[in-house]
Amino acid sequence: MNGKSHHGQPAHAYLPAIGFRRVSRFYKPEKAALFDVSFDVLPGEFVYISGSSGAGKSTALRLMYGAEGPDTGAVLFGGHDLRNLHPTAVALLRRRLGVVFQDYRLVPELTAAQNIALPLEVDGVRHAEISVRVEEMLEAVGLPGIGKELASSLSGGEQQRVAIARALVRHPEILLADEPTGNLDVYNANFVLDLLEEKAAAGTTVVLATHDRMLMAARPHRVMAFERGRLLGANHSQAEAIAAPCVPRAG
Amino acid sequence: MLWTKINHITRRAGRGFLRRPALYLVSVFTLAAAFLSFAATVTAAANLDHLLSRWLGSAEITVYLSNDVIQERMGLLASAVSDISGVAAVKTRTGREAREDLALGLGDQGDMARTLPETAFPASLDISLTQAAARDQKLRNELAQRLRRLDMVSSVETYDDWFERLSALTLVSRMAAWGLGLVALAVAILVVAAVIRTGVASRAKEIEVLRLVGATERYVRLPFLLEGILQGLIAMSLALLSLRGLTSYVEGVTGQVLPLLGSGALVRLPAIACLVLLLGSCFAGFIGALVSVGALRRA
Ligand SMILES: Nc1ncnc2c1ncn2[C@@H]1O[C@H](COP(=O)(O)OP(=O)(O)OP(=O)(O)O)[C@@H](O)[C@H]1O
Ligand SMILES: [Mg+2]
Repeated sequence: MNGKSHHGQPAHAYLPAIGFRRVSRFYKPEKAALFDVSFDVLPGEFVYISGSSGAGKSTALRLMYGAEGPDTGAVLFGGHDLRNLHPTAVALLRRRLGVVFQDYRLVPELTAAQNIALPLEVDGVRHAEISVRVEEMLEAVGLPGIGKELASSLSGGEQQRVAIARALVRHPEILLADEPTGNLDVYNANFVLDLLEEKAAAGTTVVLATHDRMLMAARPHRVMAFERGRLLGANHSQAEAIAAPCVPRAG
Repeated sequence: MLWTKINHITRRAGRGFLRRPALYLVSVFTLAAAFLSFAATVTAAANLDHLLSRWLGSAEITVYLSNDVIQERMGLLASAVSDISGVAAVKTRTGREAREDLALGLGDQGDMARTLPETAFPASLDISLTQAAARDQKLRNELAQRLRRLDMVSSVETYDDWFERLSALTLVSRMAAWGLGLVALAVAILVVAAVIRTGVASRAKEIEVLRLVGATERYVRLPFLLEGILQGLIAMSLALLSLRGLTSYVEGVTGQVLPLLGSGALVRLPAIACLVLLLGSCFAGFIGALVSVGALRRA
């Protein structure tokens, strides 16, 4: 690349882990879920995506793991534009990710352990090693010994922690977490956030979507504040983000 | 790594099987029934074919002699006939011998035949033909004509109409085998496709998650294809085992008749045919699964 990228933004000396370039996403023509959003997430960074309900946080994450594509603009993942990639290449990129979905997406008819094992099976990890790593992860999220329970029989908070375990079990380069503490009590929320910060300190890029100002205040990291699909400023300090008025959701 | 992948894919296929065993059993037995009717027809055709070729191989012309022919002249006639080209061997049979043959054939009721007068059984020459002559209908007819012109001869039986009937039956059974083969193939594909379709539907969530954690389409689809192949394979194995039992049973029931038909035991499907059938059943299961998995929407 020369001095400027073809999107008209200064090229960085490093490749962003994730880059949005003037991304818009319209589910309905008159209302943008995301509008003209550009930002970079740097490798090893811990960033919040904040905003009130309906601001576009989950949409931004879905674009990051390629569940859907932008209507305009480009989403870059490790320097690759997802749109230009063959589905198999997208699948391979997803193996570098761990995703905690807002609705967990556990497979209800599989056990907790089988759910957590899915990414490792996709990665082709040996079965003996899988059981060890799954049990380690269950312990790390504070659920030792529940591996044999069916996912559908777990409480909401337990399901959320199984989802976190599944996202972390392959030691991903990038962790995308959508309200990962939404269903947890303060004690367990802190337990999980400690774990995520530990991962970030070890080099994992963490993108955490939340509307929880208390959380962001307690654990300061860069905040990308969204409001009705627009990014207010990618380089907010957490102080500015917290000070920003809470915009009621339109409509 | 490859082995590990195969292991995971097999486990996933097994999980599908264990989750809905009843459905899979129904599918496997339906397929097995279709395969069995096909394989049984193939076996029947093979047996008719075998019978036909044995008849061809031992093809005979029986020359019935007039009652007044004496033993000496029979011998002369036999040696003269054996010089004719196309004739492999000639056996003479007196009226007494013919009566004894029948008596032996009747078994327990044999004594009844022995009370009949010897003269009720005409003496005959049993002429076996060479392979070439046996398969050449024109040559056989010419030979029969020549024999009929001899003045000691009362009639000549070439068994042509029997031969034609058996040929026709063999043809019909072969066509039936082909037809049933196509039906079995269609049944297998449709049944497997239906079962796999419900499997895909009931595992929609798992498929979605697999894609989200980076599974390739191949990884998502392979277990279903494997399930389809296994259904076909298990069903055909069942069908072939049942056919073995069925063949032995038929042999037991018809044990008395088979030797009279000139064949000691029923022909069983050779190993190579069984292998082809097993491969065919895998293919049918694969295609059935492919139909359903092909409908899987890409993520
Ligand atoms: N699949 C969809 N079809 C139609 N509209 C959608 C869809 N997904 C999201 N939206 C709309 O896009 C907007 C942003 O939704 P999004 O889920 O990204 O919000 P969010 O910031 O994650 O909210 P929350 O905090 O409630 O999870 C909302 O107005 C929502 O109604
Ligand atoms: Mg959301």
